Amino acid sequence: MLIDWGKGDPDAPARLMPFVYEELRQLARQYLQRERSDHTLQATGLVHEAYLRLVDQSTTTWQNRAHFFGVAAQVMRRVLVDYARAHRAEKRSGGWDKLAFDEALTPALERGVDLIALDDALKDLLAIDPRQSQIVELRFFGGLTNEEIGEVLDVSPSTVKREWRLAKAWLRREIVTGENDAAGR
Amino acid sequence: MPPAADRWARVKELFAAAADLDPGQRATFLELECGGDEALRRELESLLESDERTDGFIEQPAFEIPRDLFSGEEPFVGRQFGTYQVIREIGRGGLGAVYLAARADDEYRKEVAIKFVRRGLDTEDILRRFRNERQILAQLDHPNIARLIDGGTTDNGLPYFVMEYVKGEPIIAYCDGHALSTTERLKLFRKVCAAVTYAHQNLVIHRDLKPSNILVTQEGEPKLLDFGIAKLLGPGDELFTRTLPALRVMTPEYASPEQVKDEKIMTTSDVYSLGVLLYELLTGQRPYRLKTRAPGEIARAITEQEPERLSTALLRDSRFTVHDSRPLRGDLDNIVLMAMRKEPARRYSSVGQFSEDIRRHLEALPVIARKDTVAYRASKFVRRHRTGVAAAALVLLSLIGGIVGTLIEVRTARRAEAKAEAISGFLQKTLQAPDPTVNVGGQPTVKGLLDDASKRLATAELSDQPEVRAELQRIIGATYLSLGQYDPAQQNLSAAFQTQTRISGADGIETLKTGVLIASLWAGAKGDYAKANKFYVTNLPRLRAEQKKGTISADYLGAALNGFALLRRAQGDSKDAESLLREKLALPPSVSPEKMSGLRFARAILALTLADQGKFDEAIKIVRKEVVSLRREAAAGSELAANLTGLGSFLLENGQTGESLKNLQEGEAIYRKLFSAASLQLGDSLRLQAQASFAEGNYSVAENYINETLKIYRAATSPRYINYATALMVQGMIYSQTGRAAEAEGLLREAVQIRVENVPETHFLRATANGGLGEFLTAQARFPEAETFLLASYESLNKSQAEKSPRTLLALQRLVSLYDRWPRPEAAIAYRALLSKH
Repeated sequence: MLIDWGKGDPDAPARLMPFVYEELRQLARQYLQRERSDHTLQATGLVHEAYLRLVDQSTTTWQNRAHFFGVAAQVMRRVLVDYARAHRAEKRSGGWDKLAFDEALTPALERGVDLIALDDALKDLLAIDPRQSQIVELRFFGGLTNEEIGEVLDVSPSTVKREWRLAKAWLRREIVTGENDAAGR
Repeated sequence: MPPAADRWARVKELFAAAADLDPGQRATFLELECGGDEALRRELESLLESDERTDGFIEQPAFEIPRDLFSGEEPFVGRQFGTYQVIREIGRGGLGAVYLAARADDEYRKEVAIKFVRRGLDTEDILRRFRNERQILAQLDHPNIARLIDGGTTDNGLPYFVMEYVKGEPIIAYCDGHALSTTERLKLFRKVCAAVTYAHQNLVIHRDLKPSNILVTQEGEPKLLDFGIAKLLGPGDELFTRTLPALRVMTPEYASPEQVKDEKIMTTSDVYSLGVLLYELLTGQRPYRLKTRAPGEIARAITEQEPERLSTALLRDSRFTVHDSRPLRGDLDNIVLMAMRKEPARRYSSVGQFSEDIRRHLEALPVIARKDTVAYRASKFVRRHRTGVAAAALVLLSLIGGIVGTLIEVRTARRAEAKAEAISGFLQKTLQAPDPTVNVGGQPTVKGLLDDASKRLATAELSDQPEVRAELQRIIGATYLSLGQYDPAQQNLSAAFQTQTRISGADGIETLKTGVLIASLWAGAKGDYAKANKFYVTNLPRLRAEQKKGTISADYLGAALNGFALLRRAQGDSKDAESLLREKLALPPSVSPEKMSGLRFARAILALTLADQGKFDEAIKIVRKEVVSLRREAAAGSELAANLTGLGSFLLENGQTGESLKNLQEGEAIYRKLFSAASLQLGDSLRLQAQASFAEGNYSVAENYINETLKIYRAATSPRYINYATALMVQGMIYSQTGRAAEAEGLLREAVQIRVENVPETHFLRATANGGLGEFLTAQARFPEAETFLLASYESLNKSQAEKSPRTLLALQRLVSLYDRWPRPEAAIAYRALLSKH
């Protein structure tokens, strides 16, 4: 299917959407195998929204596989960061119980990732090294493996691995430094 | 490289190298590499330190995607969609929810079911498919099929389908609830089969047959829901509803192996699903024993596991008690398992055959279904036929059924019987040939089937029986003819003609019969009027005499009269055409489908001769009646399309462009479905749509249509083809309206020239060509020349057309606007006066 549409079948983007959805869903299954299942229901709204955003963009034509996965990861990133910001705002106003998506973010939050800080740091990384920023986006927000990322970006998996390692170190340092700065003030 | 980027590249290089070193070696390495660049060294050290502490940082993806993706549904109750108001929810499935609704206008409170497609499915694609399919689906008119009434989108872009509302219970619940016996179940099931067969004959495959889609009313009548909807919802959907655990309301076990494997879906896929249904109806159990309900497990069972025999399944579950004493062993085991075979080609070739076998079982006759033995598996038959019979086979059968039928009728003589057997054997082979029936897109093509058959005949097959071969070539030629495939039609007919001339002479009856078909090819698509004319003038008296003697059927005389009428009409003598048609319509009536269609054809030409004279109201009346009757007979074939197209053309000239387009498009959809190649019929439909679009001022749409039309005409026929000049004229008028005067003039003059060469001076087609050129010249302010053409046009039409013909009206309007623009006020007043009389 993905290959078809690379060859310029004009109907392919439209026919693709169910498959795009299928891809997202398969990603979801993989995650679920690794994680507890009790917070899955609460995440409904989140992924629903993510998919809808993706569908809304189906009017723009996917040029190729990389293009699609890039967009998918971007969408997920936007959704997650938007919610994290809303979460923070709600928390400040004391109404955060209302947030159904709260639990959806739990795994990431539990692991100590501040999505907003990460998002900001990624923006900085984009200015320095666009490819690294993209790799992080595809891996963390798109759920792709190094092999898949290599395929999408047309580089070898070992390059992805090398870049990923530096990007991770760089991002972590930026976030930690940012937090320390904030704490020092 | 700018300094910053340069520096970052260096950082990357050193980081990669250092990261792989032991911590102890790093200091030395960095010392060496960074030299005096302290900042670079600090940068690397901090990154390496961070690297050591990442400890799972962003290693896991950020979120989880839940199983239950879409739970929230929009509130539909109380809202109005189209003319329908939603009353309450009545069902919910993987693909969306179904609501009861009623027409909002009070006088007509018809209840319907509206199915809203779940958000997230591909809306645009569904709607596109819906537009393509709606006519075909709306035509499914059968007492056991719930009608598709309408469809659309909500304000938020959700597609919905409006369907006949059926009050009933799912078939299995009904059978169990009413404790039906095995025999009663089988009889009910055969009604379901009849409905599915009907749909298959209309080229619609259900694709999602299962108990919840088959309701039984209080009166005990089954009603099939959602016919063709699965196709609208797209190829991916079944797959992902099957694998979505949250949506397990959908029962995947009714999907056929080819559906699970995402292969071509054919009518035999419905045979499979019906087999599963019958299995469950008779045993109370699903055919596969599954440990889990994981999607992969179900898929594997469907594609690999052999279902248990019904008798065995019943032994295991004694709670299922509804059965009478009729044992399930033997026939029923074989019947159900034959329907459920993994390979489509080894199932019943049609639902009708499946149902027929059940009837034979009920009447204690031997059944076709045999136990699936190793010997059977190995048989040549199986190896040769891997894909089975598609819907196309049904179309072909219905096309040639009449001919075979008459052959069977006359098989009193031994020789005729042997012949009939040879023919039916050949046909069977054709229908079971691997694959020609289905093209890549999964659309059945009759043409593929015919191509295969005619190729086999042209080479060696039946060469020991030249008579039979010639007869088959005639049948195939005639079928090509009705499909608008003129070159292969001619090839087959000519081959038959040659053989028959050799065997029975130029005067032989068989030769004469084939000659009739060739002549109709000349008189029609090939535009070889001189040859056709000669044939008819020479042979009509003989055909009349032979028909009277009974040596030739009325069909052939009728076909000749039709062809000659067509020819006379093309030559501008609609009166003569009319009398030939009346002779044809006075021939002995008959009920065979072939002859019926002959009568229909005659009526169609009659409508045309009326339209020639500008009597559109009368012509429209005849054709409308024809369309209604064809719909009632559920004919979704080329005949219906031809009538829709004819109706469209009359409405167009009568000024009803909107309705015209509607009919033309419905016809076009059928043509596209039936004929894979660009046929002349499709060309005509597109030309008329170009004219209608032009009349509505949609010039760019009209231009696309006419370009496609001309491409088809040029590929399929000669400039003498009667509608070719019209197409040139339409293109010329479009060009004239869109500022391409020079090209427009060339086209319009060519159209006039073709008419001058091919139709008599009095023919209305010459007048309309003159009118088109005259209008163009008026627009170019070349008034005197315009006047010549417009006056010629008007005067000719004034003679040939009936009173108040829209054609005469148009000619007058053109004259009036010429004289207004020139200006010649007195002449304008005079023609206005004539116009007002209309």
